[in-house]
Amino acid sequence: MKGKVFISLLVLLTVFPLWKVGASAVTPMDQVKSEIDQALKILKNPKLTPKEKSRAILGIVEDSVDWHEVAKRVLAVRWRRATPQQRERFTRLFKEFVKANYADKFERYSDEKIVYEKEETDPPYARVFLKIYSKNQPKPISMECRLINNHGKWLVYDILIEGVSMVNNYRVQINNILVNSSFDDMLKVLQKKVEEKFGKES
Amino acid sequence: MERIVRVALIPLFVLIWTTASMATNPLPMLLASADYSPVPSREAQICPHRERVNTERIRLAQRWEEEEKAKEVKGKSITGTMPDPFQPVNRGFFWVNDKLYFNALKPLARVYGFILPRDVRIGVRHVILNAHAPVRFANSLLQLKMKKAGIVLCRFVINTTIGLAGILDPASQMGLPRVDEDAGQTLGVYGLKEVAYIDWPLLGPSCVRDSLGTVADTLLDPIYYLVNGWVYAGLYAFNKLNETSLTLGNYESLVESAIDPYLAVRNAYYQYRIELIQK
Repeated sequence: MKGKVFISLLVLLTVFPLWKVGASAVTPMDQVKSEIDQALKILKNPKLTPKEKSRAILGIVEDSVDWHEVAKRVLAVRWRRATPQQRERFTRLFKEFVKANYADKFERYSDEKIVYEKEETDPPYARVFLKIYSKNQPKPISMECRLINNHGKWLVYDILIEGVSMVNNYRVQINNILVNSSFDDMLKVLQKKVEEKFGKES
Repeated sequence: MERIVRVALIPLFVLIWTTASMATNPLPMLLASADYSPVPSREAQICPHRERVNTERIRLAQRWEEEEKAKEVKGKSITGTMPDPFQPVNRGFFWVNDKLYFNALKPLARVYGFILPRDVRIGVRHVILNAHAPVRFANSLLQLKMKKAGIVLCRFVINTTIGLAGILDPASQMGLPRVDEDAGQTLGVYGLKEVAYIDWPLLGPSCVRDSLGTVADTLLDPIYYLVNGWVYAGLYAFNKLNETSLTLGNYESLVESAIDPYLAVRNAYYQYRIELIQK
């Protein structure tokens, strides 16, 4: 009897953590869906002012993106040559830049319907494909989220809208500055952009 | 006949412009050249050791990039850029188009959108799209995309009849999605590259390949032969106004979120066309 209890306890102890792992392993699509659902809930909340809405959504954006991976990909080959301080400064500035850019863009959301089409996983990477149905657009907008698994959490590192990668788009712009000016000058340009945006808001 | 000659002049103009521009600006913007310059720098002449360190660093960077590429999820990952030998001219036209958009097209589209309800404008869009079905059908056939050609044909028949001459779009509800094919894509499928970016005044972003495509599409369009050339241009302008009224904010958000709006638009166009060609 004692032996049986012992064995069942042992089984339970070994299986329980496994079960726990299985349960917490969120698929990339679930992850994206829950983040978008959260954002939509905030947008549809009539009690919130536009400013509160954008702040809450930017919070979700900040947590769901792997900014380090984004910065690395935007700088591409320049990342390797940048000093750790430069990398850190760029990552922080770029995050601020993206947040400042999209702070006032959420209000455009009106009656879109989102369909989650499929996901492709290739650890540590994954891609989630969605379609946004909007009456105003001539055809449904296809969107692809590229994610990377960072310590068990799927984080976004690129978004493609109709095949246009945001990382690629910013890479071309940043690299063009870097062709003729120094890294620090590029950071200054970015800093100026962030200040302009925040200046506009307040 | 005269009209065909007139249309044929456009590629000739493009060709002349290309050669003229190449002659005046023989150095196309090459991002890579700044990175991996084979010419020994001044630094190398003064201090060869330093140069070796730099070369080593560049080699490491290249290797890192290759590793990163290998790690990248399977699927499209665009690494090239749109060739842009006429950048100064294009930037000028971009500026003109940008001003035209904000000072003429956008206010006009606002007024137009205020007068006509959204559903009417969507109906107008459907009619115009439906009327251009022969162009999409021909291009699907030319690319040997038989399924797409079938979809275009079915959509045309359904939307012209049940959809009341194309005002409604019942085909989409039947699971026949809109197909987007044009002659620029057809040329791309057969391997023609962009050649050079052109930001046409009034018409907007394009490239040599897609400009040739637009000419071909015009010649494939039955409406072109049914109406006067001016009426055809008017229809184009009207379509542009109608589309702008429905998609106000698309262009703004792209330009506003850019560091260099010109490059943002050029790159978005480049990536978008590659995606369409691959579909």
